[in-house]
Amino acid sequence: MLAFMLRRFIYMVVTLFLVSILSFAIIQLPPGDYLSSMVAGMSAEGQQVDQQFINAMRDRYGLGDPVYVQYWKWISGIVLRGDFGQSFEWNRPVSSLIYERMGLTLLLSVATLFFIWAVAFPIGIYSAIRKNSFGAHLATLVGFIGLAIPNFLIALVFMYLSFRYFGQSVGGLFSPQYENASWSLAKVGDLIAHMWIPIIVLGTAGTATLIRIMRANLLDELNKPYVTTARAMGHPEHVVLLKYPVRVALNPFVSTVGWVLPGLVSGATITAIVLNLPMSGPMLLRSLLTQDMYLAGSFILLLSTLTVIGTLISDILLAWLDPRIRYS
Amino acid sequence: MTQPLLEISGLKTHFGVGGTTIRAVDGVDLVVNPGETVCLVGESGCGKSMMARSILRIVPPPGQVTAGQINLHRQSGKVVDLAALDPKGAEIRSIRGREVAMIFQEPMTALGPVQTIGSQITDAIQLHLKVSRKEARNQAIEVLTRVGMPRPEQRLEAYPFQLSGGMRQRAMIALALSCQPRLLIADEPTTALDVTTQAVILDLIRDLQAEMGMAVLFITHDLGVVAEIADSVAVMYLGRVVERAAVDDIFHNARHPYTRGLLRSIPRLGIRVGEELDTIEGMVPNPFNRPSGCSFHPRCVEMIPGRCDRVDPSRTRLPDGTEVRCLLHEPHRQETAPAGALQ
Repeated sequence: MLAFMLRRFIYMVVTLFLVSILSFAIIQLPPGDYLSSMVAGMSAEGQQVDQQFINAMRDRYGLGDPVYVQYWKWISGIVLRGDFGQSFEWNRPVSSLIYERMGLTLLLSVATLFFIWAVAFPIGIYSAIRKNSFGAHLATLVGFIGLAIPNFLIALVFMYLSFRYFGQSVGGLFSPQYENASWSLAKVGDLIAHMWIPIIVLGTAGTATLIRIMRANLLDELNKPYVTTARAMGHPEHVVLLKYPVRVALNPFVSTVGWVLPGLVSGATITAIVLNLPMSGPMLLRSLLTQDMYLAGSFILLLSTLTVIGTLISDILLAWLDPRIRYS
Repeated sequence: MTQPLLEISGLKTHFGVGGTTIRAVDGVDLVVNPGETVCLVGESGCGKSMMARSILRIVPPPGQVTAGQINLHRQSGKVVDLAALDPKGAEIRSIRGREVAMIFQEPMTALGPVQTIGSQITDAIQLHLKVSRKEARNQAIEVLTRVGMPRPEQRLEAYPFQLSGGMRQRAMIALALSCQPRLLIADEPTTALDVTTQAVILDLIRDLQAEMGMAVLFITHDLGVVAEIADSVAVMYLGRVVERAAVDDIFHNARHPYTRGLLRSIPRLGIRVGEELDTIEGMVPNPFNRPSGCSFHPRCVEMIPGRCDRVDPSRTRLPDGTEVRCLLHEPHRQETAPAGALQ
């Protein structure tokens, strides 16, 4: 088991290295750089741009260097000093910009992941063992609606409902009076009161998917001979179900952590914009548009790290859950 | 004769699909005495497995036991009709695994894939025998030793996928025997194994039976196996027992034309090259479309035109104890039956 984890960890580091090269290269792909788009913007507004100023800027940010030198400066700063570079647009260190948003993004994502599991697990089991019941069909219907409606639309509906009927301030994760307040119990309470909308909005599609996965897995397992064996040995029905087929059906359920986690972090951009959430998605989008390359690159690197960590967690969970994976 | 352990009469297990009904088991009568080995034989699809599952009430939906009685004489002396119990109720659960246990055909898939052999056996022991975890573990080691599992202490920690087919079937048998049942139902336990392993497993079941004094209901389509282990034999055709007799009577004095057909179709030593093996003509009829009269008549070489296709034969008990469902043997037919038919 330890060797397995070590091997996976090494794979993870290699993957991340390749991802960092790739993401840096992709960011450099469009013609021009932040400086040239800034100069273009300034000329469009009728300002005179001094060539000397441009050259000074180019030197300062190392934009004249070859790509591999730029890459080396960037990655060595991250690995050796934890320095992600300077954001051109915000004129602040990238790390402070990211940490500001990453904490809440992670909190929201993990909370959503638990929400998805907590809802999908029992409903998935229920709709498999009562395959053709009214409840199972209802779950399927709600699930497909959740899957089919774009998140931002659900977000708008929820915003309307919460404003109209609960009188809550709409959007964001905090009420205005707590926005810039320091952390206190009341602020945490305010956060929780605001979090349910994004959790439901972000979680609906994932929940629907997982319900279908759980249902399909369990239906496959329910008719396997070992279930009959357990029943024939006299185990009560709930033990027969939970201990045997549900255990096996859990595998794909667990392996979804790998993609649900990064999906939540990066895929929620539109929802985050609509709900005005201080998440990472909108910032990444903006930094890509303005070619703010250190900010964008660091974001992509962090998202990839999350993906790889998610996959690692799900692999370890799988190995722990299923001896057939552990021993082969 | 002592009191029978299990008496089945008129058992019907039907599968309602849409508007139609498949009569998988259609009026089976069977008796199993304590310590006896009864073999249930018949072609694929004749309802053997469903009949076995009906006893434990584990018929998969939409199947249902719709009529008949399954009287089990319990250890306490009480007689229970299993057919009348709630298939999810506490009473049938206290019988499953404890008094009547079952071995299945596929050792590859009949054990839970993600639990160790040991945990599956100790779970069953703790469920029925109310002993401590440690005691259950000791009993599990003991039962694994008894089924000839090498290094039983280590095998307790093994997962089914780490064992060979023969070892899995031993583990399956150990699981079934873990609570010392009085009746073991073995549903083609050797079909999925190679011939050598087959013989070993058969010997094992026979030895364990002698040792523990339990009765065995052995389901098979292999008449060689029947000759080796059976005390008495029941031959099934399309959901019914058509002949029931002591094993010697089946092999030397079979009465039902179907039984005789089955015996003729066994390959014999000394058969010449090019000589054709006897077969029973035709196919097992579609259960949706059961022939009128005796359901075997379209394939029967001794069919009496005008009678077998109209009259459904009833169960006839012959003087030597054999029971047969065939018009050739019904009392008012016997004197007029063709001379060759009774040999």
